[in-house]
Amino acid sequence: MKEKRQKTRIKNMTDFTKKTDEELCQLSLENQAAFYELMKRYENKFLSYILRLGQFSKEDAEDILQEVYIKIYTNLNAFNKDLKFSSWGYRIAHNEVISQFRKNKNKFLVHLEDEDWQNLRQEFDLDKEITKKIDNEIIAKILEKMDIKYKEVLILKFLEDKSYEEISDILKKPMGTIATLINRAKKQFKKIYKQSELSKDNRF
Amino acid sequence: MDIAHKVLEKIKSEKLSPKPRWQFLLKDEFLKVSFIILLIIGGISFSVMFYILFDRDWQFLSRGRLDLVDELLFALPYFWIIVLILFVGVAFYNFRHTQTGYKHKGYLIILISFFGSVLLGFFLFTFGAGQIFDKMLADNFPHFDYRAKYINHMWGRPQEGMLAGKILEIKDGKLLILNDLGNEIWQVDYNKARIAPHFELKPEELVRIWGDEQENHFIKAKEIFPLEPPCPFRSCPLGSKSGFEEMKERIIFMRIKN
Repeated sequence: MKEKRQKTRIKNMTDFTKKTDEELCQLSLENQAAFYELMKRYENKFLSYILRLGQFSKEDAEDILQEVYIKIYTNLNAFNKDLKFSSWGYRIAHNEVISQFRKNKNKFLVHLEDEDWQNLRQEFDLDKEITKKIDNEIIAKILEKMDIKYKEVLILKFLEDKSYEEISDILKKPMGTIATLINRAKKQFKKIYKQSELSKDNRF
Repeated sequence: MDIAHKVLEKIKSEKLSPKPRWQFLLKDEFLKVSFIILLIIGGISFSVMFYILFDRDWQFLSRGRLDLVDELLFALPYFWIIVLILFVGVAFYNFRHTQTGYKHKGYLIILISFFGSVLLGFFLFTFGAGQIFDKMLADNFPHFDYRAKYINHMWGRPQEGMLAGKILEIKDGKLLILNDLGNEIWQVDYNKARIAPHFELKPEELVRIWGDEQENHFIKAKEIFPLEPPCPFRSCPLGSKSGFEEMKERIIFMRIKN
């Protein structure tokens, strides 16, 4: 009997990889192995999101991620099944990063990977507008100068590749507002880019 | 050790567990119920506003005796307007903080809350809630007795020929002896006055008089109306003469204070 139960448990553990996020979320209430699987599934995604939102050291970002996971775990019963787990998780990660910024009064410095630069360049058509390619450092500076409400939607849309509905669920704002924010964010990005002193120096 | 393992260790060492579901459900239900309660309070504010607005003598504005803006500013029930804004604001905040409240456009929530309160307010008004709540407020907080303030403001200026009070006596079918809102006695010549249709002058009746002051405490009336305007629907369940003596006391007190 005991052996059978252990076999079932092992079978359940191995089956976790086939479960959806939402099923894992439900199973995590009873089984920490399910929660482990859920954490592993999102570790890289959440970590890079935290790093993209602000310039933390990798260690700090990992500490924040731990806090995010603890919050997800203690609030598992608050998960609304009508939502995607990823949207809910991103929302908690987003709130945790904002709360860290408020605590430490840090600036929103931006940390982006090579692939991210490429996405932003394509989206804003920067390479077409300007004769020379602008360097990554300048894009980072533009993002740093942007209002946080615009920057976070740009990151979610173009770097995290989230749909309007997902961004709406993450930031808890209506979809119409998200569309407006993205439009305004694009305008602000281009405006800062054009006004940039570096641009006047004709460095591009 | 990877992050996921560290988290599991922390959960174990700090004996953390998921908060019970009822806590979240309770919070969400509380927000929804409070949204409805706040809308009802908004509706009550509107019912009183409807009552107050129906009660005003708007017909006098067109006779050129009064300044529209001044009278409108005086007629507004500020307390209820503030209550309405406050409660619709809190209702909006509560709705926004329900699980799916963020999915709806902010202006739509405000419009629905506002027009929901208007409709409910009109419904309550037709059943007399406006008068009941107005009287409750006035009885408990005389400072907010808008009706007494208004009657005093509008019908407490005999020098302009506008007077209100209770008929004490009728002499020779052409002279009224009137006890006004300031407890003073007036003689009113109503020989050539137009009396409101279906209204019979008799002792104890409460009246508004529009006319010309001839000399000290004597007025020649042009028009005479009942003090209380006709209540549409059943909006005055307390009766039209309710609280006249209390109102008179408050008006006398107001005059002494000023």
